[in-house]
Amino acid sequence: MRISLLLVLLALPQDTTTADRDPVAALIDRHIEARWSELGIKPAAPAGDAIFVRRLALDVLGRLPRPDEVKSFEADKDAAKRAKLADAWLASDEAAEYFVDRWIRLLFNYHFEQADPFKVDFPGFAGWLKKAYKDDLPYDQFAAALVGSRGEKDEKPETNFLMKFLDPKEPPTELAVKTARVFLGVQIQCAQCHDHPFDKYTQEDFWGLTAFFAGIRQKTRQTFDGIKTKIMQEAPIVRMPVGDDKHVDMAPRFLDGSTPDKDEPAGKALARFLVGAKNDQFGRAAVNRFWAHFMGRGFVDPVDKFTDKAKPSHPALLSELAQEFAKGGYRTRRIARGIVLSRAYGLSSARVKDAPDDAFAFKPLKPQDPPQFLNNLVYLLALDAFFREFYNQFYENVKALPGYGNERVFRMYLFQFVSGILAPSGRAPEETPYAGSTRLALKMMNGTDLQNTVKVGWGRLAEVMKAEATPEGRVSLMFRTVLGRGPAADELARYGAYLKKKRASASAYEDIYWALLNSAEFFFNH
Amino acid sequence: MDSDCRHCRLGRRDFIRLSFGAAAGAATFGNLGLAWPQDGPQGKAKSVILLWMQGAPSQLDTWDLKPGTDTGGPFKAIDTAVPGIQICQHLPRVAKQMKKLSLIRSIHSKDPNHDTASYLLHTGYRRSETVDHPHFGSMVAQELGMQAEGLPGCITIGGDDGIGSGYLPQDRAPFIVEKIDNPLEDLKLAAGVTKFRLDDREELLKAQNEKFRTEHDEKKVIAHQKAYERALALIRSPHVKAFDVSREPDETRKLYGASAFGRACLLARRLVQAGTRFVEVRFADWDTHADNFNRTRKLMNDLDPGFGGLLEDLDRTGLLSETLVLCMGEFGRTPRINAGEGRDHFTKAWSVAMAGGGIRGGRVVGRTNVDGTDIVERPVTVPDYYSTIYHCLGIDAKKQYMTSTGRPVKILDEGTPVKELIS
Repeated sequence: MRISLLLVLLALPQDTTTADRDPVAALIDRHIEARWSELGIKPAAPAGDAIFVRRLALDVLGRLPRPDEVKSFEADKDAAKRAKLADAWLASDEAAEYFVDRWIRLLFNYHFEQADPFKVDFPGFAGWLKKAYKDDLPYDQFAAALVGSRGEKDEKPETNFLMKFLDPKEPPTELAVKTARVFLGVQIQCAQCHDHPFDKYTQEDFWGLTAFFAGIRQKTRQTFDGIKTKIMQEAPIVRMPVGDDKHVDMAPRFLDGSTPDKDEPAGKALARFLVGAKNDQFGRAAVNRFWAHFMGRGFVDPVDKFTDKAKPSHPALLSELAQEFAKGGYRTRRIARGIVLSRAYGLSSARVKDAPDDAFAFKPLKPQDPPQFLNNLVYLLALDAFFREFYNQFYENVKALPGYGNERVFRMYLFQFVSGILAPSGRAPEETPYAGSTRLALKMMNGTDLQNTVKVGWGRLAEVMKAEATPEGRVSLMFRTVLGRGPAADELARYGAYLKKKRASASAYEDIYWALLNSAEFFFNH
Repeated sequence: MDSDCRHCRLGRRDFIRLSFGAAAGAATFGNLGLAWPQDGPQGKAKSVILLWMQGAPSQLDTWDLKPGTDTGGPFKAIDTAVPGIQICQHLPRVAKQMKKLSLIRSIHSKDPNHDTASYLLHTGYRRSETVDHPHFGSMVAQELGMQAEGLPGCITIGGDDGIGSGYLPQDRAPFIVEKIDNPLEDLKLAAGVTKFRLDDREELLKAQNEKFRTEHDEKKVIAHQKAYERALALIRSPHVKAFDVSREPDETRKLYGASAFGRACLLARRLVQAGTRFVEVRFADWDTHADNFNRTRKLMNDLDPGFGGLLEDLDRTGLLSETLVLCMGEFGRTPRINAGEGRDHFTKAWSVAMAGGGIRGGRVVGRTNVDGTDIVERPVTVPDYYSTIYHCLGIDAKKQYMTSTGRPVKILDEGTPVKELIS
């Protein structure tokens, strides 16, 4: 009896036995498990500590875990270690930086034009995003600030979102499209020229939403404290094109027909309508987005296709999670914590036969996103050091531009390189980088820039060669560095044999590093 | 003019014919529902070169001049090798090649947004929620088959359109050569990596991936591996030297002019010769809302020797009759000149140019009015234009494919070939 009880306790995932189970995780588990029963499927086995740490590091910190982080976590006997690690990492600076990267990509697609430094204070905006993350700024206030803030640019860095898309010659349609896409999970751009052909939005809906952003101006003036810029909004009227040469004036009108109260500023009204959108769409789109980030796909997939015809995989869970979100004051961290401590998040990614992807009976695979990829290439190949020289030439051109922080520009530059590998330009950030691009494979495996960094004397590989003296030690550390796990016996044997054949030459070690770097196991967040 | 928005109309009632791989047979006139004298075999074109004028070129300053009118601007019209046809004074080399080239001056559309119009002009369809349409270069590669070992069937030089292979296999997706000036980047073996070392590496990688692949028998994982296989095939391809423009004799290189665009046109010719089916050369930036005349003139200074040189060179090497050459942008520009000396977006009446591959050269289809504000003769839709292209390639535009969600889609769901241009 005692032995079987012991075995049962050992077999259960650690945290479910503790009394203080995360309530959001419990909510998630209830619904997910219910659907498994409904479908008559058995879920995959739990994934184990090393994989959990790798996932958490990628999803929260935006990077691979370090070998010693994996080691110490595996050795930790605390039953609540997952919750502790999640709390520590969710609150960290690194998590905040990753959040900044993701939102800059989401809002700006890393798109950086020559004219931008005159309009957009990227460092200031990044600083605002970072603080919002660290303070766990309620998401409704976050959205309200982005769409509704007006005033002094240096006091309200969130207004840089507006500035990025402002063009005196063009109506602010991009802002409407972005707002709908990011905060409501809907794509309205097809309704720009005519009524949306397959969704309910009319052309007037499109231009009514655009009107909330019309008339926004940047006014610069000289003060005792130097040059100050004010973002202000004049009459929010936009000219809606009808046919090729006619126009009709549109005033702000939200997608459900709501219009601002008398004298209510357009920005404030939009924030109000957004958060109060019918069917709790704001909350649902948000939790769906968070779920998709951690789980690889949303309840509605892709996250910006919340059309009327879209059928969520777990409609009740989606609604209840959204309610939890609102009840908890729209604080994101609670939801994130619940997701990473849920049973579904901890399952193996080995496919379960006959289980549909959206049942989450196994953890869906996803490619790394550009910030993760960049952070990992920087770590593994010292890519930043490598590019510094090229960057300095590039920076010669932008150095003279106003208010530009060195490191932020450098990071944008690196992102362009990395994004160029992962996914073709012109793709919206919602479209996650995909596997299957010949160009991606070509650049990873033979790209001049990357290959020049796969050298025993360079970057992380150089550190591995120094830290370990034996072939086994070096191969082991390479595995733990690139893949987050130690090699299996057969892998050790295979690489041992290779090194022996090649007389443990430098190029042989580089070949092994290269193979791990190009492996599917590295590429995917599994 | 028809204002119906067609991208949600999919003919499910039609008889579904699944078709993957294999080169298409020649189109028959019966399918097209037309009857005119057949003076030659169908499907003359075996490949396509698209010169993409990104940003939308001004038709009144390039192909359809209106000198002396309010909308005409400062450029003069010059005679070409074809009496009666005049084009812009800044395209003299192209003017000399006019016997090979035809113009449609009456093309029209409805979408003045760069993004969505570019999609229309690259797929023949408007953007749709339910179908991800393939780049038409992918369709050409699919229908005509990929014939050159390791060489992608569809190649884009100079950037990305953001359009992939859609519902067609991934290996038909446009292969993007980002830098016009260094197309061999990433294609030649990295320093210190011999072909033997690459073989060794390939073996290590295959072994490394085996377990993961078995445990994760997923489309994404398979796609990832197949991409590596294609990349290796490309590096090892006997055709990879086609990317090396420096192999061309000096006098040929001079023919195309000194610009990056010219070099890209020459690269396109080499790639077609090597056996790729479709090459797009992207040339930016024609979006001249301000300072239209200076900017357009500068662009034409590069376009002229590039395009003119390409036509001359294709002819000289005997490739022109089998290579369809297209020059177009996503729409046109306003006859009205704005306060910034610019022209804005205009969809009502604009121009495209076509040569080679079964197109009868030296013709003009359609006519605009005195100041270019409207079409007075022979309007042509974008689907009509596409029908013409597919006809030249011998592709049956009515053929249906299935998307991954089981939706049937025709290669084109409307349009009639412009018979005046078909030989």
